[in-house]
Amino acid sequence: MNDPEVCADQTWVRGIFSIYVRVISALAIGGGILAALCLTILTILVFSEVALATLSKVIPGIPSNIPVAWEYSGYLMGVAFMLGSAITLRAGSHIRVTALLGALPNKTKAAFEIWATSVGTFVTGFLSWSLINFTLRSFVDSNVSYASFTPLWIPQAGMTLGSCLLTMAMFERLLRSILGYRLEDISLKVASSEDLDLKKPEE
Amino acid sequence: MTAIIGSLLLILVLFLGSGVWVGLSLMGTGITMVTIFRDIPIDKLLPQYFFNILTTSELVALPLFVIMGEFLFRTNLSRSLFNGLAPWMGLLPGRLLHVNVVACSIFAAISGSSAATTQVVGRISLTELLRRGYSRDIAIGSLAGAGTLGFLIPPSTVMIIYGVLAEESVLRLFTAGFLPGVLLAVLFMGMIMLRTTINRDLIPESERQLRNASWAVRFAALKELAPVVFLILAVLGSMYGGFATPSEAAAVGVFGAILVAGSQGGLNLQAFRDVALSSMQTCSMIGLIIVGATVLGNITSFLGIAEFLAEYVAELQLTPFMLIVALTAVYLVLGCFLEGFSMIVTTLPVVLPLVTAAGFDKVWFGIFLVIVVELAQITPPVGFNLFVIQGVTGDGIGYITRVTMPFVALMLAFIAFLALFPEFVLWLPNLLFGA
Amino acid sequence: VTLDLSEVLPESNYGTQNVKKFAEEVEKATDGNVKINVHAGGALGFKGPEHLRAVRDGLIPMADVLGSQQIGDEALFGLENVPFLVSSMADLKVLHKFWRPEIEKVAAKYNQKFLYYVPSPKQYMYLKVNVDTADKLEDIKIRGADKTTVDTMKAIGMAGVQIPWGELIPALASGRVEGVATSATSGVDGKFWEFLKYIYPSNHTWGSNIVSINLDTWNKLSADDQKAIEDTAQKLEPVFWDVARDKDLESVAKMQENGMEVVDIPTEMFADIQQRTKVLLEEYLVRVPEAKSIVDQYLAELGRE
Ligand code: NA
Ligand code: NA
Repeated sequence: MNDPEVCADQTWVRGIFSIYVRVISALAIGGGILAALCLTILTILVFSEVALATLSKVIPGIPSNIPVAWEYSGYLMGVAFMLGSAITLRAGSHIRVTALLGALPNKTKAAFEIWATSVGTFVTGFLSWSLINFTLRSFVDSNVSYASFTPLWIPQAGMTLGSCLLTMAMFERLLRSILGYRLEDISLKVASSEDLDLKKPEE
Repeated sequence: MTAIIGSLLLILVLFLGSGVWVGLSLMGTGITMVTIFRDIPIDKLLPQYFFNILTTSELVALPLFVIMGEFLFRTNLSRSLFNGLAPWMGLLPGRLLHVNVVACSIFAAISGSSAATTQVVGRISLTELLRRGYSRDIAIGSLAGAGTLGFLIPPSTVMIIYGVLAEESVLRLFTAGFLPGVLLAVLFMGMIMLRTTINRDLIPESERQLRNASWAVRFAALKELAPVVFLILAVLGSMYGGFATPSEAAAVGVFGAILVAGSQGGLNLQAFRDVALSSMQTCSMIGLIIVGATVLGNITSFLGIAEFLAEYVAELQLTPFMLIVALTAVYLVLGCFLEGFSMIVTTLPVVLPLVTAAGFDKVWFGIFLVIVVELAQITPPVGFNLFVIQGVTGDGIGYITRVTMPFVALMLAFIAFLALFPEFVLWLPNLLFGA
Repeated sequence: VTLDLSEVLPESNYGTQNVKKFAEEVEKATDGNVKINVHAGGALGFKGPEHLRAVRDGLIPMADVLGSQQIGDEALFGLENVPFLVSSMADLKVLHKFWRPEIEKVAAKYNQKFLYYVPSPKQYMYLKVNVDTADKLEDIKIRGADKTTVDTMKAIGMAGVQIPWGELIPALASGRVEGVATSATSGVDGKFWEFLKYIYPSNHTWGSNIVSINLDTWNKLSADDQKAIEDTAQKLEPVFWDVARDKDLESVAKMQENGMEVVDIPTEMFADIQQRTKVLLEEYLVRVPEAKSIVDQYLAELGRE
């Protein structure tokens, strides 16, 4: 969030950009919080399913399952994956092949960075646009799931929101790569058992 | 058809090589291919694919295993593993070096990931071994080799992904991984014994008295293994004991890990926040790759590529064994650059029909893939477990790779063994679930 | 032209084999003008519930549409699934006489044409216990594939559970579920004899697989090819109905060979079960009033109430 390189300079381009950066960061973090919430509910939902099945063997009369557990855990997973995507990009945790880039001189590397982020912006932008139409159509046609008659636009809207956040974060990153700012915010990463996977040899 | 395959490879290599994110490269290639070669409204196809893939209930175990790994990372589990095993391993030639292998195997029975296994075991065991004066080469090499068991010994995230994509029972795959996992661990230990017997300098003289430790001490140490045994019982026990399906067992594991972490006093609000944040990022990272790869896989079906390649290789008339040799070579090269998940998902649509046509069982091939993915974790320049070890010891990737090579060679020999005796993989699942 | 057809059933399933047979015959009948490329096992990335929409939007020119999976889009597809409305293939033929014209209007609304209908094989309940009254079925944990089946099981008084097929075998092995409501072919696929003993020919619901083609695709075909395809569909439909019946008998025989027993459900118990589920028909007609006239005509033709 605090990006000294951006905030220090007062020219109006940078001023506007710094506002955009703050908004995107806030949105990405908000998406991340919602994603973490989805994962928490998902864990509790699946665990409750096991607990109920086990308890109902011992205590007669309590329900042996949650009818929508499987279906909804799928929705929660999808929504969590997408909503967390923007902050994951900001943190630099999305995987890319850097073996070839690492060998290039800095100037060429910066050009490749702009190219890669442009492709990323284009692909995620197309994805968001098509997901918006998809969700709107589900909403208008009031499509429901055949398994539980749950309105499909609800989980779809969650995924769409996540995709839009990712697109905005991607666009912000594109501006950063053009303006030559720091691309990732490592502070968004926490020490984890998996992020060591991502540590590149050069770093 | 060659034009289609050629352009697909070209676009994919262009995107991947120029540093476009793996998931987006795969998706972008799919979108481009459909736009060029087929008249399908891709703007309607893509969101439908997204929704279908991201709500696949068989994938739900994946985020759960990630969350469990994050909790375990914040426990003293690795310390207790070391303390519990050390007095026993002192009996074997090679002494505490075996702690690496055995602790990795045990931790692998809780964790679904090999990077997590390497990380958690390495943090304590490696520092301890180096402090006691064991040979750096073999201490690091054996950890790199044994850490990969996280994928082969159930539960395993790689097997879940493969099971979903290949439409094979995850429980069957888990069961099939067990014996090969144990055998590979035994082979690693055999290699340690052999090398330390030939070259006695690998172990400091003072460590030899470990075998004189009293049996009372040894049995007393076993209680250190309690949290680990508790977790194994929770995860594997709930699954094979009939309380939970494979996906649900992962949720049991999460709560087990919370209990262990809580009992060791490591759980405060900050820890929960960190777990949530980092598992969310790992899940999004994996999710994007899975979506991209599945989209591309489905589109290659539309384009008829898999059928074409399957026919082509069928015409080459490779013997089944030669096919496996060829595939191993391809995967070794891919594994140098690609991450394990993307390696499986990008190649599976093409390779699976070939392999089944050659008469290999899908379960067997799943185990084969798990081992080549394990190899990819420890081959440079992109080898996640190498980076993990680098994070622990600070050694260069070149050095870590060199000391790992003997274990890589052993794993290659192991693949050859499995190709020659596929029954070894299939015996246990067939025994438990029928042929 | 080559038309891709999305099929979610696995390659080995007789449903897929039927569709492949249809594809072969169409190619012959149109002198190779129309080739149908069957992608089995959901290889094109579709799961089934979106088939109707996918054909409408031109994502795929053709699909094997499973009616019971489309009830989220069009509730009229659910009529066949109403428990005990249909009790035999002969009944189903009568229902189709009145249902098909209406469901074909739905098809047109979704910009597609239904070529032929094949019934899903007969439904059974597979249990560990042999009981002779409906009361003794109560609280048995039984798995159903969809909401309709689970609702039916619950109406009977059993504990209906909806879990994915992939999780079913471990759940059976562990006793998480104590029974399954599904077809005989699925029973053979899942090797039910390893876990269950008794086959109840409850015949609770019916359903159809419908092969559908996008109307724009259809209109681009020559009149001769259209006629050839329609004739082929008409010729093969009765053959496929026979296949569905034979596969059912074969599968039951196979399960018996492996030690399972077919239970002769006592008349009183069966009547009791039907009585308990009657409310589901009423609920359905409240939710889907346009089905009322179809049901009335159907029952009148059969001479039931
Ligand atoms: Na494991
Ligand atoms: Na590698």
